[in-house]
Amino acid sequence: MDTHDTQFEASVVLHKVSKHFSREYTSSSFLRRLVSGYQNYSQIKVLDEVSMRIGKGKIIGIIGDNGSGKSTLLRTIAGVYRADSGSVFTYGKVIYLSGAGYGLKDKLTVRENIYYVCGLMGFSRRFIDAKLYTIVSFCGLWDFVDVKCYQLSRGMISRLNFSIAIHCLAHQNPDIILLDEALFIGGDAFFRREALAKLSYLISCGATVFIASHNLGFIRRYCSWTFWLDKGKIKMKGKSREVICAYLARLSE
Amino acid sequence: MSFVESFEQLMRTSNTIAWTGFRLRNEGSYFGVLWYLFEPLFLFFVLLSLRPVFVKEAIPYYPVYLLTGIIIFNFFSKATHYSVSLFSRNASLLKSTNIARESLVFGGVLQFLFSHFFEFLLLLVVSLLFGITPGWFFWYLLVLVAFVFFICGCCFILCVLGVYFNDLDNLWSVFMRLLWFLTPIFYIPPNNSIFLFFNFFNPLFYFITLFRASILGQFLFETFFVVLFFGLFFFFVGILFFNLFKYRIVERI
Repeated sequence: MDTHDTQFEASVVLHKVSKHFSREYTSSSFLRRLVSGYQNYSQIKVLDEVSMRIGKGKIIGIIGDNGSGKSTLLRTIAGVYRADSGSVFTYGKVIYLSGAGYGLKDKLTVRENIYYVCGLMGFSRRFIDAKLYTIVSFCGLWDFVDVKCYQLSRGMISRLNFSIAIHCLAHQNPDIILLDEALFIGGDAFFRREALAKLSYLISCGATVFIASHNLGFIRRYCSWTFWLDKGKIKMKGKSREVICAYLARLSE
Repeated sequence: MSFVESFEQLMRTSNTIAWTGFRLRNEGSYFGVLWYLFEPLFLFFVLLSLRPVFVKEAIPYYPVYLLTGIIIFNFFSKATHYSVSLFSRNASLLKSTNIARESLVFGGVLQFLFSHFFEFLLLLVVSLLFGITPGWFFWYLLVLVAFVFFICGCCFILCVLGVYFNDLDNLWSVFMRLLWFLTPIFYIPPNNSIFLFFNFFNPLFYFITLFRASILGQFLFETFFVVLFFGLFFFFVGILFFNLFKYRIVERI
């Protein structure tokens, strides 16, 4: 959080970060559509001069409506997107964990997908060999380990995604963890409870953590400070309880 | 992360992508590798049987001449075509993790290099059948290195353009068909013709000529410097072009 304390050791610093996206719509110009479907577009501002200075080890909540810029903010911190203006500084290893998963391949088996995703994360084959049992056991898919993913239910895929992500995260020893809707954990109530326990353990291990979520209960419980984003701007920042109350009050208006 | 560590990470990720792509194309079957060979083999037999129609001149070791042209063109055509829709196919992966985007391109080229290896074995068998000793292996390998640089460069450019121009996939198919007929793969270009003029600017012509010469044990040093120039030039231009757009493209997919 912003502070003027001289002992303050920053982990993430954003200074007037802005980001625009092009929103395409069907062109009225026949010629433009004829030449490779290029469409007209307008610019929309997704982040509007967002500034923050976060100290090491803080757990920060990001709340806001859909399209308010939560994911864009985290992706900009993670380096997936580049800011159009302003500056982003991160100190230490950054890991971005998205609820969208890592693009598991339908035609690969559970085992092959684990090797694929962990390989993309930079883990060696020997490491994956050692971790395979833990990852599969955690998501309870040991009986399906050699089954192709298109044959699994959505809940199973979601569990597999979460298990791979959380185990990769645990062994990368990150300094900054960005959780983007990662609390949308699929599967049954038992798995969700286990997964939340694992996630809670990880975020309390001393890394700086950003949690963008609609799960206000989780944010209130774990985040000391919260930012409320609205149309790309910081509408409110402060103690989680106060920000969440203000956000809920706005919803009930 | 040091340069060496980043490079190692890039190679590991590329390797994972390549093996996964290779496995997906085979649907996990080892027997599936044979399907790679059937396509060039059938084309080879069809064109060989039509030789009197296309080729009036005497070409020494014509079957080897023809097969070399087919497999080199295949490598170029498949790798470049794959790269056109590379980013849209991997949108969810690119948006959920900050992996080096270059690894997708290298992984794609590596995947087709694996396929080329099997086609190369076919060429080896045909060459031995026609009494050509395999002493040309080293020269072939040397030209292949320059060729891989050339293909990587083209893929870097095409994968960016593929994001901006929706019709590039179809356009590239048409261009490849045109290039197939304009490049002397199954014939010798007639003297003083438009073919010679076109092929003067056609990098594939130089590569195929040099591959053929190296197989016959006649290494053309002047042509080698031309292909080396093409390889390095396209590679560096491709990398520069890719770096200009590599963050923007993730926002558009």
